[in-house]
Amino acid sequence: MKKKILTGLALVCLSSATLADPEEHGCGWGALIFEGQSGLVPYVLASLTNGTASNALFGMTSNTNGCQTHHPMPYGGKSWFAAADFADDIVEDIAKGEGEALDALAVMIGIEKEDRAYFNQLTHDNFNTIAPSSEVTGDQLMTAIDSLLSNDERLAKYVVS
Amino acid sequence: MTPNKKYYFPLFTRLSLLILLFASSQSFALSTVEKLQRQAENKKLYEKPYWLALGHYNTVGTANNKFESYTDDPGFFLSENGKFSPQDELKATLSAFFDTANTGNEHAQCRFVARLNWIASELSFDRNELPQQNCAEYQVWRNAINAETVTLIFASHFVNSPSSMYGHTLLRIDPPKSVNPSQWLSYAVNFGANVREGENSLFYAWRGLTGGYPGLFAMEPYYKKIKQYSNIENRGLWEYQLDLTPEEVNKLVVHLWELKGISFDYFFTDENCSFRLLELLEIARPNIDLLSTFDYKAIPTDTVRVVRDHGMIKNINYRASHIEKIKYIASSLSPVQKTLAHDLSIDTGLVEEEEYKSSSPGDKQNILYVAYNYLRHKQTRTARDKAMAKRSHRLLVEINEHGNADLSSLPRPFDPIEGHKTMSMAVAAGSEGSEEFIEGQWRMTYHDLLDPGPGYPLGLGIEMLGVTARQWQSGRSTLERLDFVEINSFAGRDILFKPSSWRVNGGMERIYSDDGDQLAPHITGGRGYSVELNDDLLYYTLITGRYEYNEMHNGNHQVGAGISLGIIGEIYNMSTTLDLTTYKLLNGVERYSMSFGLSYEFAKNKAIRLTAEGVKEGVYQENNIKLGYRHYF
Repeated sequence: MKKKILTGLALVCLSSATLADPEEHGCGWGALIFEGQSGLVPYVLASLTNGTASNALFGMTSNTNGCQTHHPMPYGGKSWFAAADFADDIVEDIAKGEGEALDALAVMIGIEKEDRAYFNQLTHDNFNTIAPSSEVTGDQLMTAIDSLLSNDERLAKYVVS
Repeated sequence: MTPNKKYYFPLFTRLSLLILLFASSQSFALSTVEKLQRQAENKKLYEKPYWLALGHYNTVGTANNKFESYTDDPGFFLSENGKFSPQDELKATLSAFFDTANTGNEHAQCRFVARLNWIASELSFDRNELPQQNCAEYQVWRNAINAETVTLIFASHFVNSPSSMYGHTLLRIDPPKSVNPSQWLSYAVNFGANVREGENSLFYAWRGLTGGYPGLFAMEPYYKKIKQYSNIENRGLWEYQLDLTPEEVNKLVVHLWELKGISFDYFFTDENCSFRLLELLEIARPNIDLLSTFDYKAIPTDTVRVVRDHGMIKNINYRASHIEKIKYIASSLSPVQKTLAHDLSIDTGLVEEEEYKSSSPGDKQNILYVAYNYLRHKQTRTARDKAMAKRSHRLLVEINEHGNADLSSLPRPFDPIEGHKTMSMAVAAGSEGSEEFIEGQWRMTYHDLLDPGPGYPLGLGIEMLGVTARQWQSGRSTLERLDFVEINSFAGRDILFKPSSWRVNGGMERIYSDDGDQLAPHITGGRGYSVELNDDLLYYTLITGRYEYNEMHNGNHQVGAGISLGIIGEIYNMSTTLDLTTYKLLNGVERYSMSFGLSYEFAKNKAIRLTAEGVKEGVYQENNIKLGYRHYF
């Protein structure tokens, strides 16, 4: 009985969980940047249950969902379309010229360590081309990065046409 | 009918051939299986700790040979009696490995890779004797989880969600440094409920709270966790890199595969997320005992401490929350600049104004940082807003031009596992009016406002199950308090952030009055605001409400309302509180109290505490003062 009482009382470690990803991005790149995190209900729910609000329970998110890419960039079984989840952060990092989201993108594209700083600088210098307005879509964003790399002597090798 | 008939005979022949084939291969296999099963019995393999760990078995009661698995999922067992019998389960597992009726991904060899690896290392048999299986799904998954190191993550307290106020732990699996790793893309391993989209209903929330929700392991890219904890919930993430070898990491990952989709009841305190992670670590490093200290509760920080005590932590990193970073940069701004940053987030046209333009380059970076990130913070829980997006973009253009603020010297807070331990006992001597007493207290968890501050956020108090009793000079002994729960959550407000502060306390407390004294059940709560006077000093004001059951009253059930205000401070190893509280019950009873506390941690997990209190109810007025020693363990 005593144990039962203790059990009932000590609500330990029931932390919250991820937000239900509002759009398990189909092809990934339709999403607009600067999106909010709407959907308070799944959030609160997940918070209460320490759960994971996700269809991808075991890391094996479906990859490109039919999207085509000409980058040889699978990373850990994921294509860089997964970066649609953090398009916001990529834009922010490009503005700053560095950051973990930009690092993750570079890893996904397959950019080697020695080209990383150059990649950061190149995207930073071309921020206004990559993200010309707040209404830029993920598609446009990636297309812009893509053509930037294609037209760059040093980084063109990462784009397979 | 005709086409069916046409194929009937040949199909039948084929089937019988197949059956014959199976029968013959099985009769060959059976002997090998039997041999191995006998070998396993003789070696008592089913009693070995590692087998028990793989099956998540727990001994039941006092008998050491009675087992029950923590897993409640029939899919985890190959024997019908598997949940209760490690012996039957081992036997059935061996049979299943040689099974020829099943092939491919669903075969036991593919489902229970860790079991197979272990059994093969314990028993002498040639893996080539097994019917060869193509475990394609497992191979794809295993290759995707490129694992070399494991990091234990502690997501700090989140008081505003009652269920995660003790924090949360998860694991992160990192690939080798040589493959250009990005922590963002590493896999996080989380144990919790699986909340699926489309299943959102109050019913599920209720189930989650009452334990009806099955707990599952889930793996997601770490960036999702960063976004959730750092950006949305504003919790710092402590990252404790473990010293597991690649071989040990492999053991853990392989066993994770066995747990794919396997449900556990997770609400019992001995079956929570932190406990589950310790189980995984015991799988990774056989012969290590992390679990035995947790009988009925596993508080996240305590589990990290045990891991540290076993020398398993190699490296510690702290990932500050979004708000922490904003506050840090904002702290270098003058009040005028802070206001400018705030206004910029609402009207980006201000970048054309002289006030902004004339700022130094460094100040500009800081102002922009606060403005942009504050704007993002405001949008965290709202839907996309075109105007906000436009302002965000405008500020990024400005950041692109002027550069980002320097966060390189962001201070790291005190490591929570170096804070005081979570259970406590105290003895004190004191006097109430003219009578002296000795007092004893026990508290199951966790931290009150006077406890040593390092490792715990200022203004946070979480207590569950505390008992306080007194032995009076007169010989009488009394139960003074029985606290089921007391939470204080005070967070300072400023121009940017406006969190509310609150307090809730439920239990029994002894009420002294002119008519004698009475142990009264009560629930008291309050809500208000706090201001940080400086980093170590917080002022709060609360409007309070109270329910009380008191047999000395006219009308035993009473409700009332009142006000509380006070100060909380922490200086070096000292904590201090001052609280003024008054409330009035519907029957006219008015109570006033003024209390002061001072605590000094003179050695780790050892503190002395002085408290003084004056209470007044009607004509009754009394002061008490006590001095005591408090031990954390």
